[in-house]
Amino acid sequence: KQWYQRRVLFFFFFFFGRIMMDDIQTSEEVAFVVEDVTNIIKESIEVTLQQASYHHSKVGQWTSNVVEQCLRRLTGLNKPFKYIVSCIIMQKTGAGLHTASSCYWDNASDGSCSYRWENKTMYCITSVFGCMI
Amino acid sequence: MDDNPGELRVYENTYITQPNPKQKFNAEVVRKVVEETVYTKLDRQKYNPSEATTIISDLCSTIQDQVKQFSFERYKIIVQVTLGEMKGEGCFISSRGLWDQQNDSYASYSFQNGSLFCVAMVFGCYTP
Repeated sequence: KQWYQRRVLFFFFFFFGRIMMDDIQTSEEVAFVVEDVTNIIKESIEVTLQQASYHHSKVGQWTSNVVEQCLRRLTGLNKPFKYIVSCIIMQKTGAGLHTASSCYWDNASDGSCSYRWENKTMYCITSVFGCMI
Repeated sequence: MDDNPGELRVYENTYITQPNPKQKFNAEVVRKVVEETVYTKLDRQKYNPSEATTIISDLCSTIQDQVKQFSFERYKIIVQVTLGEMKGEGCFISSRGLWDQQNDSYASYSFQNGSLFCVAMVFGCYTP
């Protein structure tokens, strides 16, 4: 009888402990972490554009690649978010470019992040918006 | 209703996972509104670097206010506007979303005149 009681207690604490752990993990991990997302964007751009020079026929493919890589890595974070990624590649000719965004959402759970990259021939501005489900 | 400021309100689940069909994000209607707003604001404007920042933030807030007036319930709205000078450069804008195909949508409009170009994108994400 003692052995049985001990096993019941063990299972009870084991499962209760696991549930507690999961709760703590979810509250810390489920948030839009700007640093992680910035790193993801940075890596995606560097992998795609590396040392490329602006070329009109390739830009379309580059922007698609950057956006797809970003999305793939963002899904790898395994968070309950809907993501919108937008990428602008512009040739350097001395022209001015401005970007602005405004969002109607829940500030506590949602977030956005933007990263600007350049080389000698072009600028690349990528923004990621994340909405928690 | 008596509201005690220290009281925490807990709402029960509605168990609704889809938006009301009449209140789904209507991309066409939003696109028309965006088109009108951008056109009236930028039609005969010339690119001016010092004014561009104010123009673009005004545009963002105006578009957002107008989309909010449509009362798409439980939708989160994201507006992104890009404004650039026309100097013969090449520019490519691409965007992709990881969302619910049936409920979420977007509307975009691009405008250009002799001295500037503008691209406005509005995204709507449903929160169940």
